[in-house]
Amino acid sequence: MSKILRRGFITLLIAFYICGLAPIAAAKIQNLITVYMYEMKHWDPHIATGDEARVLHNIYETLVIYDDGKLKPKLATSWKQTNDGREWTFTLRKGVKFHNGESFNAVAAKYSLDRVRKMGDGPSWMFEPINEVKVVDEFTIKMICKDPTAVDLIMSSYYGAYMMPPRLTEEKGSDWFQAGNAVGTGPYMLVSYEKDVQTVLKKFDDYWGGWESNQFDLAIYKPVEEAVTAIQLLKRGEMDMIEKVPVNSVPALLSNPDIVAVYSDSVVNEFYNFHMQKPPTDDINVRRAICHAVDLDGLVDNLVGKSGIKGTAPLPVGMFGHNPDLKPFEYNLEKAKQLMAKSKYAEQWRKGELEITVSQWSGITKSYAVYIQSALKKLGIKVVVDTTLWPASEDMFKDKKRCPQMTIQSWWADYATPSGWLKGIWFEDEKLGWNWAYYANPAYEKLINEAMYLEAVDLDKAVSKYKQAQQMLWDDVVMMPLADRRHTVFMRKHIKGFRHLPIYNGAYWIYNLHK
Amino acid sequence: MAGYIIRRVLFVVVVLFVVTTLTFFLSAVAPSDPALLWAGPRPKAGQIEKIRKQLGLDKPAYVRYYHYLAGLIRGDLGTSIRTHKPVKEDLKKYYMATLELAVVSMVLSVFIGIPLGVFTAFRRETPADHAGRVFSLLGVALPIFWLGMMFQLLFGIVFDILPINGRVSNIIRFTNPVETRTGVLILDSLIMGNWVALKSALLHIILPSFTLAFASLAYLVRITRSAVIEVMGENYIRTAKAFGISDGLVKYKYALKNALIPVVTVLGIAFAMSLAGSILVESIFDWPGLGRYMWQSIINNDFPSLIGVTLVFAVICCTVNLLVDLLYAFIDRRVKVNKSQEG
Repeated sequence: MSKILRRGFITLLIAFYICGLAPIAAAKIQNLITVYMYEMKHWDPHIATGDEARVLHNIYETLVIYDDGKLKPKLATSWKQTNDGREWTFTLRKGVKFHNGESFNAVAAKYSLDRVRKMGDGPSWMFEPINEVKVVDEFTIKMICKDPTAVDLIMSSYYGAYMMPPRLTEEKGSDWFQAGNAVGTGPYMLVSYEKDVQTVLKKFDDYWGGWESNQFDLAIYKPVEEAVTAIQLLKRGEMDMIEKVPVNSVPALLSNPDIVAVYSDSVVNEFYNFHMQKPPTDDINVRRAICHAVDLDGLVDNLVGKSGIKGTAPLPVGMFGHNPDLKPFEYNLEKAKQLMAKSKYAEQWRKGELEITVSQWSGITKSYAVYIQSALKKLGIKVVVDTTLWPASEDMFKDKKRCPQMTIQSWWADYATPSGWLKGIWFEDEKLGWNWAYYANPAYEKLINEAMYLEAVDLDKAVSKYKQAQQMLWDDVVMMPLADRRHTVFMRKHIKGFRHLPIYNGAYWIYNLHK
Repeated sequence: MAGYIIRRVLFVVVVLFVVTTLTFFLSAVAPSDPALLWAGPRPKAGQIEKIRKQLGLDKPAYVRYYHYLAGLIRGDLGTSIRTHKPVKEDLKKYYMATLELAVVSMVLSVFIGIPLGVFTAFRRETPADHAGRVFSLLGVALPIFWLGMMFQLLFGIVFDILPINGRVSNIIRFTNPVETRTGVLILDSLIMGNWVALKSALLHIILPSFTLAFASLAYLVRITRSAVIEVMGENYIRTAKAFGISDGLVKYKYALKNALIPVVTVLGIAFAMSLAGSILVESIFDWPGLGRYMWQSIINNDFPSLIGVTLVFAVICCTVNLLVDLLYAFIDRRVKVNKSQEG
């Protein structure tokens, strides 16, 4: 190469290098945290019911939050109810501003609560028991319900209970928010949203909670398609917190001195439903036999590892109302065989003709299915692992004839109540569509409805009814619990202050984090 | 010439029609409910019915197909079931990113592959040639996603010298944002004088474009090598040498030009390979382009966007092939493009 070319090349290289120095300075000025992001399908907080809440709850706030078994004040400073649990009065916090300057007051609260009910979308079903929201004075609102309702629990919900600025929301409408805009009272404001690229949140200087110097000024949410890439980013320090780590990669990741794993209780659990109206699982002896034939400890140890603990009830252990006294099915193949011999399918079983289908939807649930398959092989029952993927599988589950005998289900709380599981799943009402066990027990449903009313007036009585209901499910062997998921976050060790609140599954309270 | 082009364009239209029909009916038959996808994780039962009506899913497939074609002629590609946005809008957002990646990787393939092919052709049966052979074999045999992850591991973690995902660093995207002019980050930052972003964009494109280029690079090396060897055996080369024309001139003026003809033909195929490979490469490197969009559409059976992306890919492939054929006719004056030779 000629001299000129060579010189030009070197000059370019130097210029290239110098260019790169500027942003490093910029990064040091601001306290920045980069976290993993899930897809935002809905930006309107009164429509979102999925992973969007992980981001939204940093921008929007609810009246109360559920923390450590208690309700704590957030945008409401105190609340009380009438003795019959039908009327609730909330006193609101003063001096709170929305990101656009509007003030938060009773009018804003009424507007928000009316809006979520009026829109009738996503999370609105939670607010149906509330008939009317009244403005009592500038910082007091009253909610009136037809039946006794645990309104305080509903107001702590992860979905739909967020306060929105009335003037701006009326002016812009839902579509504007859905396009990727957000204005709330929370500690962080939305600065930019680039779909599939990144979302940037910046600290809201006028946040009512105030700021300390070591908190984060800027939070970048970044979607990463492949788990492998996410792991590499965490190792390089380009990402500070990730979640999707395959079980086998965990030991290698944790051997890195800069990375720690934080395990917390969650209210997510996984279990199998037994199809109660399809042979052979319609016979209780067969269901009992299957429970005795599967080594759950082995399953959890091998397939779940540290990210979960063995399930012991229809509710996960982190949910209040969990019944700790249910007698677990011991792993006993002999006992299982005896039960099979007692069942009405004994003849077919002895001939080896019994066959059941087990569902799965990917990853770990596939491993569960294969585990069940080999366990039941020893029992003499053939297992066909269904390969229909979501969302096609949902069509299949909702059809009584086509639904597999064992369906894997994962459930979590919409707000802090056992009824989420107990009513949400196992009620016969076809409209709800989640009852893949096809359980139909009016006595059970009566019990749950009573418990839900009691939630509003006498929580202890409610809990005892919930426990009775779980005992019913257990006696009827409606489901087989697998694991109560522990929420796992892998993060750079300099991030402090992380605490996972189980009801708010997957939420990173960036405001609580600091260097 | 004009007649030839018109005929080729008509042929492209036929191809697109077949592609659309096939893709549409394949996704209609695929066992998956788009209404569930639209609704999200925990919909209420009535909501699904409402969505089904809204999306027109209660009508039979051929009716839906008719509506879709009618929309297509108007230029309306439908609405993505996953993102709830018009497919056209989604495509517009992502296609420049893929073009940028595909073009850069083609440039790499051509400017590394061809010289390497020539190099190994003139050093037949030497260790360099054998190394070239192994390299070519690796290029075609190694799975592209594995290669991408290995590059990430090697250059991102072990050596820590290159970024491993995205088009530009997150921080820089925020502090030194690039205004969109062409959609090609490198060009835009160059035009706007945004040197910080330019450097970041250049660094970020290195690994994905190399991964994408690897397969077609290896392919080009082999093709070039055999083409050059074949040409070097031709009579006119021997004649030129006999006339005393210098070795360099013989090799690079007479031999190479003729050898490039079959290579140019292959370029079209190589570009198509790039587009196909982009689906995996973009997912690994989180490159926000059509490839990754296509991947997400496939997984979710989002048939409007699936057809939309397939159409775009088909159009690009056909266009590139047409250009290559015209280029081919241009390079080799012996090839006449007219009615009697149409083939």
